[in-house]
Amino acid sequence: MDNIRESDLIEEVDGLTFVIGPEVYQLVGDITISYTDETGRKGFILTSDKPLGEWDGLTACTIGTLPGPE
Amino acid sequence: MENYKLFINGEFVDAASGKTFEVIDPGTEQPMATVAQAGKADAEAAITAARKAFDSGIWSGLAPAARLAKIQDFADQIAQQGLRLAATESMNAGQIINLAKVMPLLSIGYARNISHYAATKFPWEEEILASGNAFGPGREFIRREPIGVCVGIIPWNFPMLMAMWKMIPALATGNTVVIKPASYTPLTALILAEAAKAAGIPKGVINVIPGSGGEVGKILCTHPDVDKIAFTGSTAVGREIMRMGSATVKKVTLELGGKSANIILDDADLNLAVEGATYGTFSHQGQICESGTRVLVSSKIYDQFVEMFKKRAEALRVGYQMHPTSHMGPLVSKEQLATVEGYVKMGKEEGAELITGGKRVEVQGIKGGYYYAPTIFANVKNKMRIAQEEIFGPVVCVIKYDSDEEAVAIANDSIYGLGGGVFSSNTARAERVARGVRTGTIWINNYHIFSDFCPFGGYKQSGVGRELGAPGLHEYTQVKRVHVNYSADRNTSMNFTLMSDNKKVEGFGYNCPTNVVGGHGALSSIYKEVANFSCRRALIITDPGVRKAGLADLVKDALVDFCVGIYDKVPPDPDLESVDGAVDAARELRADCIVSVGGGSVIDTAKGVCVTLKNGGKVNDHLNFLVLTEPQTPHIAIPTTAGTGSEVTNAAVLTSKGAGRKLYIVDTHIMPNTAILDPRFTMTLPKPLTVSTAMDAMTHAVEALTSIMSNQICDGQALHAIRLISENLPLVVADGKNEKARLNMQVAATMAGWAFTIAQVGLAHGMAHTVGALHHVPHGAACGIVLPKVMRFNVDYATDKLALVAQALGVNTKGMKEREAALAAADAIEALMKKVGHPTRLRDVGVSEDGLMMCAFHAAADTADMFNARPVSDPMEIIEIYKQAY
Repeated sequence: MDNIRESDLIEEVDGLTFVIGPEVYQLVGDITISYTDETGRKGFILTSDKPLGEWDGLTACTIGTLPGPE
Repeated sequence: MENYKLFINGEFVDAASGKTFEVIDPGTEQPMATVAQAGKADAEAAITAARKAFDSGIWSGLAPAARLAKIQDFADQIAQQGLRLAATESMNAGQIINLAKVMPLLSIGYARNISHYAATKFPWEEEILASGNAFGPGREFIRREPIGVCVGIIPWNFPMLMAMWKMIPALATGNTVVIKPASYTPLTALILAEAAKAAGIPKGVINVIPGSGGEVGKILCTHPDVDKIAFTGSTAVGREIMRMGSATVKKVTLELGGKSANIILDDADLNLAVEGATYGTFSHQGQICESGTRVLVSSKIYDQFVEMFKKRAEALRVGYQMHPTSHMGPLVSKEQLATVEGYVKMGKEEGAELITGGKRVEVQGIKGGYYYAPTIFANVKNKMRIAQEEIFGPVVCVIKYDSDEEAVAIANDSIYGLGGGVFSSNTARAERVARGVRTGTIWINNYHIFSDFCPFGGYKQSGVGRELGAPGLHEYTQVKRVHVNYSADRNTSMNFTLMSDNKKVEGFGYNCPTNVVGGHGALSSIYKEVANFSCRRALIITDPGVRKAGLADLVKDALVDFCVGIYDKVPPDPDLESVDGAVDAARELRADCIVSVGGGSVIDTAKGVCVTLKNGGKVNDHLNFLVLTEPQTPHIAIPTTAGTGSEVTNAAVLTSKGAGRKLYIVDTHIMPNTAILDPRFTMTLPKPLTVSTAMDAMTHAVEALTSIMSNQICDGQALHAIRLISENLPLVVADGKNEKARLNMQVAATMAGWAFTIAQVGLAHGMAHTVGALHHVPHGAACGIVLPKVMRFNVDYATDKLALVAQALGVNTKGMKEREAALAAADAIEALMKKVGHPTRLRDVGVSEDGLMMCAFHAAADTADMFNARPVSDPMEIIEIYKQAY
């Protein structure tokens, strides 16, 4: 699991906090997050201005939550 | 600049959208070709073409030999394009030319080898001689058939070879293909398409559509007309492909990522190990899924190894891939270069020690290019991300370990299991270590050796299924099992009786091959019988009582020098251990023939011995129904009772302590080869045993006659057996030395044996088995006591047959109604038993009344009940019969 660092870029959108490392941002550019609900494929799709590879946008992912402090 | 088009349905076409994309040379970053970019419409067109071609049979309907001929033509066309393919592959994928130039050769070899195997040795049809189902006989065979439309998604590291690995096994097994090469490296797949067209591969059989994985890949993995997906690439994408394919339950094979461990043992030849580690990691710039990117080094040689490894890596020449002196070329893309740089940065942050590399390389005379130096991290801990995650570049982690066990544990501490190596000067030790690593391929004292007939694939999250070799071919076929029923009569298939009130099974198969030799002095035939089997080492199996009576020695003398020994330890109720004891004796004496001398227990023991001698292991390995497909160790049975009929039956009844009950071997192949009925062998049988074994034979005959499996041949045998017993049992009871009567009793037991081995027995045996198991009542006695009660129970379901029994027993049925005659049969049995002094009540043989309920429940579950004339399912009905017999 990654941890937030001082140099990370942070943006608040509609009450959600988005964090990205500056090297990654330089590599991939602006990121678009959409949602799909198809047979066999359900979840968030991340695409970018500068895709790292041709499979950009294929994988649908879900958001998990970390356990809170006990 | 060259322009490449899509290959769909046998033609080179532009993309429906008109879009194209550029492909670059990663060594110079210069564009080298434009390629049509397939989109949704093109993917659907390719799938439609492949579907139509498959369904038409133009390829799938060819015999494998015809497909071989076409694939050989394809291979020839690849050879014609060899130079162009090698140069294109090198320029486009960044493979050093010394590697790329062998790719056409490997491709041709693979095509020829695998398609030839598919045409000559692949098991397209397999006969199943022993199906394992005794109740549904028929011809059983399997056919292997192609799956249909197969999608092959190709990676960018070895584009030509990986395209061949997907195309050839699919084609050789009759499938059609849609190939999606990687967008970085589509060119050689399209040149292969040119070769396919020139070879006359029918339209639609091969389709090649380069395009974005995100768009085209999704269509290919979800389209209902695609039957199978074969993917090579990252585990992350592989997971998604598997998930998408699951919606329509596609067959999926995946060759995914790896983080393979190359283990250097302390006795390794260090020069060899360093070379192996170098080659295993830095070949093709580390862009190989099974690369040994974790080098595990014994602490005893660690410092020396690292120093040598560093020196060797620094001697590698990174240069333009087309230059013949280059040892390493560029990474495939700037994205891959960025990924590698990211991991190197991470490695430093995690505290690994950078020994060499860790930087880009500028190649003299070349502006640009994605070159990176061979990079070694030392003192890596296996939990670091650089040791757990696939980097896919020229970066290796060197990890120290102390013991072989620790090395194996570190190797297995990964989500991957694709390749691996062990370097050692001790092959046995290297193999022991190799066996412990959970991975699909392990190389000992080398790395990256691939062979057309050797399967490749991953454990764990490195993949699903295999490529190459026969296993790779099987991935492109599916199995159809065909059953052709033995009988075409609705009343002959026993399974149909479940849905019918009429349980009688009509039709039958009669196969009783035992050679029966009977009469005064019949024993003399044994010398010739053994010779007939081409045997020379006969072991006599018997019990202590028969041995003491001198009967085994009679046989020994009759065998002359063919007899290698006498095993006389068979107990009265043989269990599996006692059979294994006899097997051990037979193996020690190298017996090639078994002669059983005794009652049913001895003969059944001998049957178990014959099967185990022939097939190996222990008798517990062979407790099956109708699975033998060939003759067993020859068996000559000489019964000393009359009797169980075991000398001609297809069953061996053995007690299993583990199961707490009797278990069976049932097979035509365990029927003794020869049965010798010599009345001398029953002359000394004591009266109680004479009458109880006779009642066993009587019960066999009566139950075979009334069984739902009864047939005309067995009916005749059963009736004559009943007549012989009825007439001769009183004679042998009166005079045990009456040889003629003794012979007639033996013949009766044998005939009853033939009858029931085909027609089966019924409830009387089910009830006798139970009191035998729970109250240790001798089998014959138990049968006799319950038989007349069961006959009355069955009277309305076997009236005609029981009336015949009455006649065979000598009852004058003239003037009687059929039912009256049937009941008279039961009375006649009881009268016979009284006459010869056979017990007629269960209480007289040690069964307690309060044990009857338990007996009834067990008897209701006995297999023999299945064949009873009257259906048996209610234990309360059986308890009533037990009470009558009590």
